Formats: sequence, structure tokens, C-alpha cells
Amino acid sequence: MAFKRPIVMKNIFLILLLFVCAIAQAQKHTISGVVRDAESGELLPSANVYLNSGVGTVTNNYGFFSFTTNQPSVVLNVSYVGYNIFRQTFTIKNDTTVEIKLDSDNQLEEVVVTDNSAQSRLRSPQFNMANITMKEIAQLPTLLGEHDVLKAMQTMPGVGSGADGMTGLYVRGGSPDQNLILLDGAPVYNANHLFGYLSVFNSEAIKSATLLKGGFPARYGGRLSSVLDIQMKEGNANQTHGMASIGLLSSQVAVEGPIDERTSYLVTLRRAYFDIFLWTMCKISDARDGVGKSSAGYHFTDFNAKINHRLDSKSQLFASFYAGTDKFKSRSDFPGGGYDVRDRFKLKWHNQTATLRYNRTLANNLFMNASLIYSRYKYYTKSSVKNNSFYSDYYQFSSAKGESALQDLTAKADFDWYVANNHTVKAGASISRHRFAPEQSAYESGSSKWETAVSDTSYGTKKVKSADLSAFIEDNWTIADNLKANVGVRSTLFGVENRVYASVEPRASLCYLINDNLSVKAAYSRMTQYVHLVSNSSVGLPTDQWLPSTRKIKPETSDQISVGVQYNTPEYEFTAEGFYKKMDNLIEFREGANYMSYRNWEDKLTAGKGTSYGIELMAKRSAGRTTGWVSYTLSWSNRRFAELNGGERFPSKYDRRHDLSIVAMHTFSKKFDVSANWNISSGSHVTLPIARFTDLDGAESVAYSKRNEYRMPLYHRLDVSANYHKRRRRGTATWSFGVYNLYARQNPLYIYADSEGNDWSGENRHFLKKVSALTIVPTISYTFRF
Amino acid sequence: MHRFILLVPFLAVTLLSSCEKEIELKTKSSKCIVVNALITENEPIEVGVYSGVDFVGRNSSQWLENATLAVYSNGELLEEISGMNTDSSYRTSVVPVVGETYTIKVDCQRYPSATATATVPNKLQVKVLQTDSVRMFVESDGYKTYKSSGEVEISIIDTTSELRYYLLTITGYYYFMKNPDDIKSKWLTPEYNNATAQPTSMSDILTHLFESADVKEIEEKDYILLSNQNWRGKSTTLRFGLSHNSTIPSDITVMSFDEEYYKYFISKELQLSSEEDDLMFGEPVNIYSNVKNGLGLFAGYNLATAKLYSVCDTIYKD
Repeated sequence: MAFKRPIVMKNIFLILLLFVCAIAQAQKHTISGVVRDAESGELLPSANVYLNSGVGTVTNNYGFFSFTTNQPSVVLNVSYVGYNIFRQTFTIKNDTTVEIKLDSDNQLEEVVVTDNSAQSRLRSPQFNMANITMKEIAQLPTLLGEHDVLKAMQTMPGVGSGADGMTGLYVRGGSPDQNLILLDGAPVYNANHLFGYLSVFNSEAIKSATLLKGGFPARYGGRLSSVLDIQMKEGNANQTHGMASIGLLSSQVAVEGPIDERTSYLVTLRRAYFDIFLWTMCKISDARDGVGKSSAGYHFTDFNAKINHRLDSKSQLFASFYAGTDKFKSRSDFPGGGYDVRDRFKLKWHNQTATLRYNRTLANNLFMNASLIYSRYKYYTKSSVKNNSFYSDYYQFSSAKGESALQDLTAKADFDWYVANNHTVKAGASISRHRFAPEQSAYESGSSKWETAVSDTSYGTKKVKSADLSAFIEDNWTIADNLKANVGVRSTLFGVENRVYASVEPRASLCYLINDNLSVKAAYSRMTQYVHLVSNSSVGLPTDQWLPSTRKIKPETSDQISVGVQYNTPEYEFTAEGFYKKMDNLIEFREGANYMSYRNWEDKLTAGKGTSYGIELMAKRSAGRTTGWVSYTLSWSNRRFAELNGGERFPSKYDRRHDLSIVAMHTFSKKFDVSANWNISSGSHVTLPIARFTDLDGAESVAYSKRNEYRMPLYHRLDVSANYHKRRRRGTATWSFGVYNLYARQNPLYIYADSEGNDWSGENRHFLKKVSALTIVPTISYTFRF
Repeated sequence: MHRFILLVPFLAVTLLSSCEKEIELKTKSSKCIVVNALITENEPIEVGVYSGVDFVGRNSSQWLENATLAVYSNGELLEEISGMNTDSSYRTSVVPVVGETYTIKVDCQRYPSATATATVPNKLQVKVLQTDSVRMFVESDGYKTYKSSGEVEISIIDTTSELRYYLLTITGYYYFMKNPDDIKSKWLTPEYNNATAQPTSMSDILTHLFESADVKEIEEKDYILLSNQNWRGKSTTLRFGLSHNSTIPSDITVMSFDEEYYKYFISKELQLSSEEDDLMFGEPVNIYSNVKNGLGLFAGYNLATAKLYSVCDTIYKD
């Protein structure tokens, strides 16, 4: 083996040479700084910063950038969608720090949107990305008047929606739990309000939202299919601003402003008031029936707060907090069988996230970010029945309650090191502790004469603690003027039940610029997922269970390759991407098991494999008075489980063969804008009853199709909206009108089998029924901004 | 503002109302032949032959009258009959023997030939080792109430080396209150989760869902299902709690069968429980069939019974 020594020596020499080069580069002067919104002082992530020499970069999540140069002066250009281009010459004698403030193009009289970021995307190795700005989201048609980040993402290629109107994201054939949803770095486990019809993200609190579908940089990990990174606003550092909005079913207020020269804050509060309508409906029902009385109420609240303090010119402290709760309760008192029957039901679920973050520019080319992150999700349900005798003081009762919770605590630190103009290295590590308490339930029954019998069924459950330690390193590498790469690796150790799972996940993205308008890209990423959501339904129910990998349940893994081409014209951006994703250790409920069956949750599950592949096309216009996009996805998604469907391959319920979205927005003037969104896609897969037969016991039984063999009817709907803005003395008032599902298409939410008549008489008729919701939903809201 | 307030409930009712509508989905025709038979020793083979029908519609599964049934054992044709009996079955004169494997072949016009194979398991014995006790409370007016608090222990003697499944059921008998001569029966619920001192491990107990070693059946069922997975070739004892309120001896029945019937039994239980949920909330389950080119089940079983006498303790109340 001695002959290999010269090769080893040569490699060591090369590495040393690289370090020397890096040090030599460091001797040059750097120009670094942050990019902010001139009006609010908000840091602008992903702003495109480039020198006239052609060297360019984008700001990190905290608006920071850095260049190295040996030129005595440079022309620095900064562009960001919706802002005027900044261009200024700097004389460089020493290392220079700048603070760049971009003016919003709203200040121009002409309302013409410009998009300077398309060129940046053309050159970036990062693709597989859903690009929608918060400004676009604010213009899109809404459901119930709520601008929703998740619903906006569903119009992007490769991103499907679940059941009609739901916020679930089905990215490239993956399930909703395969999406890592981060709010200021904290994972949000249940992003749903109103049983999945609205997301928990209040758009008034959000600065930016980025969805990655593949080619994941090494800094992200823990889920197979996508990363949705949502950053909350920091709060206006210059002036106090606010808004109040009243809609059909919810209202909200938001206030932001400076506390002092170095501190700013943001507070938003949103509350839905379905209570009023449900109460009204119950009263109408009571009056009609004339027996007993009933009431029901549902509401949700969201509270977002963020405080941002500049400790000095180099360091900054952020603290952000989110709490969201959904509460549903019903009660009915009615007579029956000599008793006054009192029926009660409560369902409550809530998310909490908190992030404490410290940024520091350690050197002109080194940026540090340290965070302490907390996330918690819990649901609680209780139902009870008490029967009070009309004739004596005798009563009997029974009650059942259940809850499930999970809690994360994470400490992490990451660094952006601008080694040279052609190398930006990001590296970091995190440690997390997870606590899972799925399926805690208890039953109680008794009467005034008997002892109370309490049955605690927590034997069927298991509390699990786990911890993970992750580290990553990635390099944004400009190999040549027309060739860029992002290469990296992420490694995680996940400890649970005295077992340690280890993963090494290589990541690579490559971009080759063919000319100034055309680039081709390719990416590979391996992902590992240690937490899983088990759900029977195609909607996001709060009762869906988050479970960790355990000794029995192995971590899910995926390998995804994707290729893409992007072509830009001055007004349009065209992208075409293809992907192939292979997934392993996916979990599903065993046949006949569901989350309601009283079993140890590990025993309800079975593991299998999945593949998904397809092509995604998109044409987007981001400039001019009329903007919008057309996106189309052709994809396949299959599963194979040894214990399901007789071991045969079956289509995933997230499989959508065709999915087309057309989004158009037109700004007539600063006072009036309109938008429309039309979506058409293949129906969801479903398993249907196909035959009836006499079984061994002489009973009529049902034979079902193979798993997910059939599709529901074609899904399509058109949403429209119009916004009228009027300048008032103290601010701007906006009336928003919209209709969700304008032509009242009855898209099926689900299908079930039913019959009418009598089996014995032979007059029984069997049929299938579809249940549709949201056939036409008008919306009106009033917003005042000051 | 008043108009706005009036508009709100109207619009809310509009959007919250969902609608249900009958739907037509093109599915493949599911017309098929259905063959059902359970065979045991000392009883001639009797087969039910039916037509399966498409799920949607008014038609119901009907007997097929003009089928031909052939019974084979070890490849040798034992009997072939055509046409249905008046009791709507195809009854042969073939009497199965324990341990023998039988194959049936059913031919009927417009359907492909359906075949299935079954074996009759060997005879087993059940003995009651420990009976339960019943207290009879007699009120001053002569009114009687009963309370059972005892545990029952039985032995199952089946020394087969093959995998077998056992279904244990208990039939209790009661005097009908208005007519003491009229005795009613009902299936009792053995409380296996209260069982103690098992000579074999918990893994012997097959819950109706899982074959896991550490899963217990807790839902109330009127049977216990177990296998000889861990005691093949041996006998075993089984202890369970039993609550009833009668002094009349109960019947303990243990049915032994092979994996084919077990799969059918479990899948039917699962289908029944999954049908309680809408398709939205759970995947439906197909009933297991071992009939090639058709549906249904052809399986073998054997039965053993024992009487459970209760020790009665009478308490008179003032």
C-alpha cells in the first residue's frame, strides 16, 4: 500500500494550498453589509447583490452579504423584487461595511411591478423552488377572506392540495408530514385552523415564505419532500404602523413600530368568530325541532409577536413568539327515555413556537446566527353524557377524554463564511430534544348508585423521548463565470429508546448558464425523517398523530434527483423541471387499523416504499400591470407495502396525474386591482366498493377494489377577487371582495357507500355518494392600514 | 353597518353548508362466482354457490342453480354433482376425514371455473379445570339476582404440530323471567384482559388485529381467539374471567381451524369495524377469499365442547 502515499501527500498539499489561498484572499479588502427596506428598516433576505465585474451573491436570511475585492472602487448593485434597484460606487481603502436601504417601487406614481430577482434565479443553483412574494399572496383570491401562504403555494407546480379547500401541501407525491414548515426556524407541527381549511400563518406577520421542493441545501433536514421557511417581520424600525381588518368570519389587528432607536416590535392578533354563526344555527334548529336545546361554538385565535433589538452595529437580538388555538365545543340537553340527557363535547388544539435568536457579524466575512427554539403541539378532546332521571335524584354518566402532545427544544448555531467571492461556506450544528405523548386517553362511567369506574387506557400508549444532533456544511461555489454549485453534507444522530440512528445526507445542486437568458440545472439530495404523522384521512385533522421513529419504526429516507431548465425574457420567466424521488420506510396504518382503535400505536403501523416522478412546467410574468403564472404538473406517485394491497404496488392517495393552475392579477390603478385563480387537476385516488356477495356466514358482504384503484371526478374551480383601495387622511382603506369556487363546482371532499330500502324485500338499492363542501363561498372584508 | 351584520349569517350559512349527491363512477364489472363451504369430519361436504353482483344497483347476490361441483382428494375425483338441491346447496356424499385435503371445482356458465382447497383439522378436547362461582341473592319477596365473580380455567388438548387457530365462545343460559320453564341463551364475554397465571406467553393470544407479542385485546368481544403458535405439539391451559348471572351450566365451545378460516374471520371483523367509518377516515378491508377465480371461502374445522358448572352460593336478604 506504500505506493499510495504520494497520492495522499499530494491531496494534503492541495488542501493546504486551498487554505493558503483562502488566507491570501482574506488579505484583500471586503465590502460587507446588510440590505434593508428603506421605509420599515426590515432586513431583506435573498436580495440580489452584485458588482459590475459580474461577481454576485444573495443576502442571507438576515439581509447580510459580503464580497472580497482588490479593486480600489466598486459599483455595488442591489435588487429585490418590488423595490427600485440600488446602484452606488464605493471607494475601497479598507474593509468596508455598508447599510443599503432599498426604496419600495410603490412610491412611484405608476403602478408597474418590476421583478429583478428572475435574473438572480436564472444564475442560482437553487431551483426546485416555489417563488411567490408576500405582495403576490396579498393579491390572490382568498377563502374566507384570509390571505394564506399555504394555499398560495398550492398554485405552484409540483405542489398539490389535499381535499377541496384544504391547506395541506402535497409536494412531489409526498404526504403533508414530509413538509418541514418553519416559522422563524421553529417547526410547526399542525399548520391548520378550521380543520384544515385555513393555515395558522397570519400573512400580516410574515415577511417572506420560501418553499423548496428538492435540491435541498444541507442546512435543511428532517423531512423528505419540502421545506417551507417562513420568516416573520421584524417590525418597522422607523415608524409606527398598523392595520385592522374585519372579515366575514375573522378579524385581525397588527401593530408594528420602533420602541427606541435600536428596538422594534410587531404584534398581530387574529380571531375567528364562527361561534356566532354556529350558535345561530343551533337556535334555528332548536326552534324548528321544539325539543331540548343545543349550542355549539368554534373559534380560533392567532397571536404573533416579535421584538428585534440591535445590540450594536454588529449584533442583533430577535425574539419571536407564536401561539394559535382552535376550540370547538358543543352541548345539547334533551329528554329521552325518562332522562334529561346532557351531552357535551370539547375539542381543542394549539401550537406554540418561540425563537430567541442572536446574530453577530464576527468579521467582515463571517456571520454567526445562534438560536434557541421551542415548539409545542397539543390536542385535547373530551366528550361526556350525563342522564338525570326525571323522577328521582338518580343519574348515570360516562365520559371519555383523550390528548396527544409533542414538544421540541432546539439549540443551534450556524455560520456564513464568505471565504472568497467564489466560495461562501455555511456550516452549523444543532441539538434537539423531542417529547412525544401520543394517544393518552381515559374513560369514566358511573351512576349515583354505583362506584365510578375509571379506565385509564394509557397502557395502549407510550411516551417517548428522543434527541437528535445534526451538523451540516455547504459551499456556494462559483466554479466558473457560468457554472455555479451548492454542495454540502448533513449528518444527524437520532437517539430514541436506547437506539441511535445515524444518517449522512449528501446534497448537490449545479447551475450552468448557457447564455444570459438560459440556464440548465441539476440537483441531488438525500433526506431522512425521524418524525411521522399517521393519518387515516385526506384532510388535516387535529387528531392526526405525530410519532417518532422508534426501535420498531425506522426513519423514513428519500433520494431525489431533479433537472431543470430556466429561460428568461425581460417580462417572462419559463421553467421546466423533472424529478424522480425514491422513498423508503414510509409508514401507513395496517389494514383495518385507524387512529381510533385502541392499540399501541407502533402496532398499528406498517412500513413500505414509495416512488414519485414527474415534470413541472411554469411560465411566470412578474413585470407590468398584468402579472401571474401558469403552472402544470404531470406526475406519478406510487407505494408498495408488503402488508397492504396484497403486496402489490398501488397509487398513493397523493398521486395527481395532471395539475394545472392559472393565476392572473391585474392592477388597474393604485386604487383598484383584480385577480383570478383557476385550478384543474385529476381527482384523488380512492378505494371503492365494487361488488356485493354472500359470505360464508350467509351475510351480504362487500368486495372492494384494489387500494386506490379509482379516481374521484376531475377537480376544478375558479376563484376571483377584487381590491379597492382608498387613501384616507390617516391611512389607506381597502375593501376586498371575492368568490371562492365562482361557478359552484361540486368537487368531492370524499365518497361513501350508502343504500336505501330493505335487504329482505330485495328492494335495497346501493349507490355511492359524494360529499362536497365549499360549493360557492363569497368573501368580503375591510382593512384599514395606517 | 346593519346591512353588513345581516349579510354575515346569510353568507356563513351558505359557505358552511356542504352537500351530498349521488355519484356515478365507472367501475369494472364485478360479476363473479362465489363459493362457500365449511367442512368437518362426519358431515358430508355441502357447498353454497352464488353470484356476486356489482356494488351499485338493486341486484343482490343470488344462488347459482345450474353449477357443477366436483370434489377431489389427492388428485382423485371423488364425486361430481350438477344442480342445486331444494335447500339451495350443493350437497355431496363425500364425508371428510381428519387430515385429508379436499379440493372443490365449481363450473357454471358465464363464469370461469372456481377452485379451492381445504383440510379438516384433527379433533381436540376441552376440559374445565376450574369453574367459577356464582352468588345467588334472594330478596325477601323471592326475587333472585345472580352475580358471578369466579375465574375459569380450561385445558385445550390438541397435539398437532401444524399451526392451528382456536375460537372460544361461551353460551350462557337464563330462565326467562315471565316463564321459568323458558330458557334463553346468549353468548358470554370472556374477559381475557383479566386473565392471570398463563402457562404460555401473551403472544399466544391473537387479538383480532395483530399478532404482536405485547398487544392485548381490550375491546369487548364475545370470543377469544388464540393460536398454538407457541405450543404446537403440546396442550395448554387458558384462564379467563367470566361475568354472568345464572346458575344454569354454560357451554364452552372451542372451534379449531386452519389459517384460511382465520384470515377470513379476521378480515370480516375488520371490514365490519372499518365500515363504521366513512371512506374518508379509513381504508376499507376486503374479506379474505381462498377461491381461485372467485370469491368465498372453503375451509375445514373441528369442534369440541365442555360444560361449565357454576358453584352456587345462596344469600338471603332481609
